[in-house]
Amino acid sequence: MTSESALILRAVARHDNDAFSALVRMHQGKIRAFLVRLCKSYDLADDIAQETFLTAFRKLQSFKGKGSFSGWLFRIAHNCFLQHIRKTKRRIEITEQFGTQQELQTKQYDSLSTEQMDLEQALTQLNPDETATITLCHSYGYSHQEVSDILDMPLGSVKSNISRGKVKLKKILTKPIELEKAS
Amino acid sequence: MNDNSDFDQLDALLAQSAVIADRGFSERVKQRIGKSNTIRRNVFLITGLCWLALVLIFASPQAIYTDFSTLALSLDIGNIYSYALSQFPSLSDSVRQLSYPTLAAGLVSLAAVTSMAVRA
Repeated sequence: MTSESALILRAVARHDNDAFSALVRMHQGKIRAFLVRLCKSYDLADDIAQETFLTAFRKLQSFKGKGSFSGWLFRIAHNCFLQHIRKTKRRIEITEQFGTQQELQTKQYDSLSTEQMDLEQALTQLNPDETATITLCHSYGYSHQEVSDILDMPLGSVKSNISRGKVKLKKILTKPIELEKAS
Repeated sequence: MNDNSDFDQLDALLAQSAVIADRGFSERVKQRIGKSNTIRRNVFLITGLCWLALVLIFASPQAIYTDFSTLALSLDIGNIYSYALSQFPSLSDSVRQLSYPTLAAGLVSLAAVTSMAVRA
């Protein structure tokens, strides 16, 4: 039995706060990075990440072990993000932000190369579905089918969001190189 | 550089998944879970007490009425009750018809239902 499975069992059976905190420490980095990419704001992403883990703690009994625990957490995180958008009608604001590149405070990350910083900036210009599918599939290694289950999105939409998003990213990231060559 | 190698580079870059440093986040979540557990426990306790009170009221209304009357007399609640009603003249006529036990049962029911809603 892996340490993660043991912690999940302890958290479910005894409602053990310490075991759940260890699970939070294990997964918070990826969940928060995923939410930062979706929200394009650290503070908002942190709030939603806290809500995600609180919801996960409350609904821990409903985790049946089908699929990975991290996949289950990503599903809750995505639902919390959508719920937040519905509540605050921020979808319009976020949509408006697609065209305007936002300066992300990259110091929040563990360690980030210049290329990764450029990538994080470029990701702010994609829409939430493209960002979510690309992040889960390419950054965290989930299969298309798993992404489809996590995001509750048809398999075809997952694939089209990924390919459309990657074309956009390639365009955004190659623009500065072309400008350098021209000058 | 051709398109395929551009995509290969992009895939490689995306595969270096970004992870955000903890910086006290786990501790904040732990505290919030602890707090929410305390609130849930208290709400559960209040719900239980309210249901117990309801059971007592409906199990023996006469005894409760006597108890409330004694309590009202000893604490001079009658004055507070009249004062509260005088603050809401429109309501006073209808509420004045209610006896102490009915009013108390209503309030306890309201508290029980509210705390159950909070729990849910």
